[in-house]
This record gives sequence, structure tokens and C-alpha cells, in this order.
Amino acid sequence: MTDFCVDHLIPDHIAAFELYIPSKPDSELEKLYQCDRILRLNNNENPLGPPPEARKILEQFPPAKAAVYPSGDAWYLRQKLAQKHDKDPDQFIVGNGANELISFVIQAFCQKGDNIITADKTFAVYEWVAKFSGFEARLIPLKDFGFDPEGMIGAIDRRTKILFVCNPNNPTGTYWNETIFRAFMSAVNGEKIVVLDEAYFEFVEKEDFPDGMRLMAEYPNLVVFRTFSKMYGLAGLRIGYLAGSLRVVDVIRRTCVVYSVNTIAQDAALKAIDDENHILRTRRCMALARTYLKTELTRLRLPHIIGEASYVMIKLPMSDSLAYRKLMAKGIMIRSMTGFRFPNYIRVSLSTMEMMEAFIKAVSEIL
Amino acid sequence: MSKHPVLTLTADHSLLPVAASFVESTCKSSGFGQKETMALMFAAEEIFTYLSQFNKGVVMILSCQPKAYQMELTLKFDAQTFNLRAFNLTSSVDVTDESSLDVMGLIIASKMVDRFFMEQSGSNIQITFIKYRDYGKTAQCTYTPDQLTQPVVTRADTMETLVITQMIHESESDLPFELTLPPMASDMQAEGDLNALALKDKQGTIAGGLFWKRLSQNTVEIMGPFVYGQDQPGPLGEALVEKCLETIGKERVTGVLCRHYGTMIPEHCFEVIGHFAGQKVYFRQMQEDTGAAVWLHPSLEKEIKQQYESLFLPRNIIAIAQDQHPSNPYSVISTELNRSINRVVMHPLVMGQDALKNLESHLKLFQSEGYTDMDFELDLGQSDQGGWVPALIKTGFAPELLLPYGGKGDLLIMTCSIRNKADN
Repeated sequence: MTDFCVDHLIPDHIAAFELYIPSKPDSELEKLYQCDRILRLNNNENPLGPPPEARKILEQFPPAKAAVYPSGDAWYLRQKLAQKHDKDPDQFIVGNGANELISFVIQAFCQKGDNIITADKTFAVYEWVAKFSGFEARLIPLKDFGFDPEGMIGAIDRRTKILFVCNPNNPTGTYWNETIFRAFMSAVNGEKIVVLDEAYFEFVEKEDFPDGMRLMAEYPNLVVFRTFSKMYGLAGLRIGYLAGSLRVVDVIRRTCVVYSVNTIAQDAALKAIDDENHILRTRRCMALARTYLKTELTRLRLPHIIGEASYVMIKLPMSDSLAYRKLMAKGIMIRSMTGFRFPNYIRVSLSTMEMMEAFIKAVSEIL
Repeated sequence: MSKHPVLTLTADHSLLPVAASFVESTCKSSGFGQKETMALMFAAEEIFTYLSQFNKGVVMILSCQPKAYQMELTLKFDAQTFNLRAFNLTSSVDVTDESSLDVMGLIIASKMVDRFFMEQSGSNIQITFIKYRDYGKTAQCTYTPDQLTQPVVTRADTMETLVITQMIHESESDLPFELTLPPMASDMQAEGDLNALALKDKQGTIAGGLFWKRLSQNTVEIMGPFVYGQDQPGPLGEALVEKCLETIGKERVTGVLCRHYGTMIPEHCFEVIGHFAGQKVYFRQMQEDTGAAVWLHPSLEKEIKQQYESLFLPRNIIAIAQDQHPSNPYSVISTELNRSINRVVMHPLVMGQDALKNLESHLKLFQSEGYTDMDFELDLGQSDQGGWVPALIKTGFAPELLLPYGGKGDLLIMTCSIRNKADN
């Protein structure tokens, strides 16, 4: 049989698209890098894991439930979210992680010739989804490591449909305060959809940090993303949600793939959301790590940016991809930042003191 | 759909005028001069005659792709009908007389052009000839930049590229061929085959730059940084390199290679992966390395394993059998000839019982043609290529450079340098 030639079937925007290759499983990496354990400081996972009540769901999940389809639209979770945020359940869409939600929003509002606007150095999935869906992604350079509101407003044209703002920004940890955000929303003037990605919302303790859920009442064009992957320690289950005005969410829902969120994820999220103690414990852990790293990185003379989220960006006097390999050989997995357009930077998740000390020891040895 | 002229015809000597006329008219209509047109036409005639005898009756597709700086003539065949042995530059038309070097059509045709290479991709066989536009002599540089105030790095336009290349042409001794001809560099950039950054200030004074181009699907080559009047690494060179890395950070690039650079190269941004013509070769991975399998011949295992360890590259090394006995009687080598830099690069296509003899014949031919630097590229990600190692070692090849993910897997470049041998 001759090889099936697929080239003529591939759209140009897909042919030009960069394939994302996820990391191999830890056990495979341990073999390749010949280390006996890997400390994961690359994906900003919560070192404390899920809240206790969510753990019980995972431990006691009845196997028989696996044979039954989940709630197609996360019915109970949406009721719970509505109650928590004082909104209508129909203002929420639950998705298989933020990546799926980004895709829903772009598909709902963009058509051929449209564009989205975001920053050049931020969570890459906004840009990826737009590009592989055939839409232009206008990338505005960061200003002082933060989103540039004037630059974004200046890039808007007739075909702009969505502006994505990651607050706090991943990977820099910088954030817009409420004053900046309100000024931005006023400039957009309700003419475009603004997505406020608050994946790290629960980590931020600053008084002036804007709460998208609250501001939504004033801005019907605002869509807010939240996730259970970070603070709530459910990254392995892939579950997040978006919220917006009834009119906007009704449009987005038309593009949703129902049944994409599994039962155990919905049940665990339902229990996780009530645990305020878990948030406090995690914040304490992050604060300890932040203070320790500030001191140690200063001692090592390594330029760094510690923002409000659960990670730190560090500039190394070497290639970040080489640093990745050298640290992996010592069993420490960090995120190299060249792919985020920050050459020679690494991003390190804040974690337990034991993990932070292991990281500082390893990075000291490779410098 | 291809936008350049294409001609489909059968390899038959009676159709030679049709092929020659096709090449001539395409060159002329694309504004190429008599010199370039005649060279490509002769190459086409030679190769057509050769293939008509070696592969008589086979259907071939001729295409001419004009670019501002070069004309590319490509001959494509279906691999199932093509006699692959025609790829061996040492193959004669008379297959019973391999020693009759005077009828080797491929080598004769290759002499007419600047670059020549052959490749097999799936069911397609392709032979490519490239003739550069004749740019004449490079004009003397008259540009001397003033001191920069508040320098910034921006993407260079083609006029800025012209200025930068003229400037470095005078000051830099180690430039790749395309940067020695400023108008060619500018034309390459206009075609999207070369990228450039300019170091300048708000008044538009240009004081340096950096260039890059695709070497393969995975690898980009950086040329520079070049900064006028500076001979030590510093923030300006670093700014150029970092801007380049930011720009290609999200492109389909696994690694960047840097063989041509000034004295301002920020070494800390790179790793040294070997030497090329006595000079350090810098490399940098653009992504996190999550490991790969490599197939190695036991005679190279110790040396290459050490190199992997020193570069912290996670590799699962699979040793291939010490003495392989290929079932195929004939081996096939594809060749890339680059006359502008006097370099030959060979790639293994088919392993055969005559590998050593075939390799020796190729070396003899290249020496007689005056080539001094000969490389053989082994893709360690392909399990069947390690079988060439004994023949390579016997003919004087030695590992020179290990390029991570330079091919399907890591690329091991083995070199046999006549010049080095003579020096020794």
C-alpha cells in the first residue's frame, strides 16, 4: 500500500502551526535523566494537593458511576457557583480546563478575517487557539513585564472580537489593579468581548486586585475564567469555568462540547469550592516560599520577578534550556521560558519549603 | 498549487530540446542574465541526457523556481520507478563499467551551478540545482556609523540589511557566503529566506545587526551578532541575540546553531557543541529536551556517550550490531555540493554491501574535483544509518559535530578533511 498523501488536505494555517509536544511522564523522564525522583516545579501545581473534602470524593468514588455519563452541563456545579458568586446558573459554563473554554469563546465570536488581541508574553493558549482556528492573534509587547492597556486599545480595529487579559499575568505575575482595569473597560466601551483570565485569582491577597466576578455586573461584555487546577489542586481532572452576562454566555454555550467534563471532576470541584481553609493554608505555603526565594535569589545575585501568583521568574546567566537539562539531572523540573519569548529565564512554582530548598541547592550547583 | 513553471515529460533523449528550452525560457523571463541562464541550461541538458540513459522512459517533473537571488531547477521522480543508483555521483551510465568517470552526468551537471543536492522524501526522489544571480563585485563600503544614543533592536528592512551587510563586509573576516554579497542578502530577505535585526538608535543610525535562516525543519542558523566598532561581548550583542531568540521562540524551531559570529557573541546564551574549521560551534536548544532514542555503532558509542553526558542530553542509546551484512548489494549516497564554500555533504540513502567501495569512489571523485571539506551526516534517530560507521572510519572520517535533533533524531556530522590531513 502506498503512503496516504495528506498534504493537499491541510489548511495553510494548520500547516504553519507549531506542534506542542507535552512532557513525557515523570517515570520516563526519571529514566532518561537518571534521577531517582522528580520534584515538579514546572506547572504551578498546588503542593498541598486538593482540599480534604475533594480528596474524599476521589478516594470514595463508586466504580459504578464510571459507567454513567456525567451531567452534560455540570448542573450541580453551576448551581453551586451561582450561589457562591450570587449569579444565575446560566451565567456559567464549565469546561475541560481553561484550554477548552478559550476555544469555546473564540469559536463563538470569531469568523474569517477577525482578530483577537493579547500580550506577546503571556499564557500561550489564547494565541494558539486563535491561530489554529485561522484567526489573527495580535500580540502586544509587555510594558515593564505587565500587560500594556494603551497598546492593546491601540491595536483594536473593526475586526477585533476578543481581548484576552491574563490577570495576574502568567509568567510574570504582574497584575492590573482595579483602576487600570476599569479604565481599560471604559476604553473598550462595550464594543468587544474582554476575557479576564483569573486562573490565579485565589492566590492574590492585594486589596486593589480586581474581582472579575463582581465587576461583571457593570460590564456585560466581560467574560471571566477561573480554574480548579491551581488553588484547588485538581489539575489532573481538567476542570475550569467561565462566567459572563446571560446574553454573552448564551452565545458561547452554542459552541460548547457537552459531556466534556467527567463526573469525578464535577463532584470533586463541588466539594473543593467551599474550603476556605485550604485557600488560607495554600497562601501561607506560598508566602513562606516567596519570602525564602526572595532572600536566596538576591543572595545568588539572580534577577527575579516574584509577582502575586504561585510562581517566580528568574533570569539565569545561561541558556534556560541548558538549565532545564542540568536541573532535571538533579531531579528538579522547572519551566524554561524561551518558548514564552523570555530567553534565559526560568519559571519556578512556589511550593513547600523542602521543595524550595532543594531548588535553591540545585540552582546554586549549576551556576 | 505551485505558482512556478512546471514541465512533465518522459526521460527520453529525443525530448532534450524541450527540457532545455523550458529552462532557458523560464530563466530569461525571470530576468536572469545570459551567464546564469546558460549554466542552468547546460546543467539541465547534462542531467537529462544522463537520466534518459540511466532511467529511460521514467516520467520526470521539471520545475524552475525563480527567486530574486537564485534560480532553482528541480527534477522530481517517483521513487518506485527511479533507479536509485543514479544518485551515486560515481555511477556511470554504463553500469558494467563503474570506472568510466568521464560519463558521470551528475557531477558534470553539478559543475555548472552553485549548489546541487539530492533527496528522497517518501515516494518522491528529487534532484535540485541552484544557480545564484550574478551580483558582480561588492561595492566598497562607505558607511561609518556615529556613536549610538539609546540603541534599540528592531526587525531590519531590506535597505537596512544592505547597510548592515556592507558595514560588516569590511570588518568581519568570518562571514557566510550570503553575507559577503550585500545585494544578495537583501534579496534573500525580500524572499523570506533570510531574517535580519538592526541595532540602531532613534535617529536611524545603524551600528550592527544579526541574521538568521532555516537550516532544516528543526534548526535555525544565527549569523552574528555584529556590532560596529566593538570587539568584546557586551549588552548590545546580547540584546541582538535575545531579540532573535524572542522572535523565533514560538516558531517551529528545536535548536539554533551559530557558526559565523563576531567577537561580540554572548557565550552564556549558548552551548559549545563542537568545532567547525577550527572554530567553536555554538548551539542552543529552544525547547525543553524530554529525551530521545539514538542508534549508535559500538565503535562510536563511548565517544558519543561522553558527549551526551557533557551536554546533559538525555538519550536512550541503542547499540546496533557490530558487523552488519546488508542484503542489498549496492549502496546509495546522496550528495550536496556547495561550490561557493568548497564543501561536500553526503547523506546515506541505501546501505549496501559495497558501502566502503562506494564511499572511497566518492572521496576520490571529490578530491579530483578539488573539494577539501567533506562531511557525512548520520541521522542517529534512524536505526539503519549506523551501518555506515565502519566504512566511514576506514576512509578517515571522524565525528566533528553532534547536532541535537538536526535530523529525525540527533545529527552526527563526521568529517574527512583533506586540508587537515595535509596540514598534519
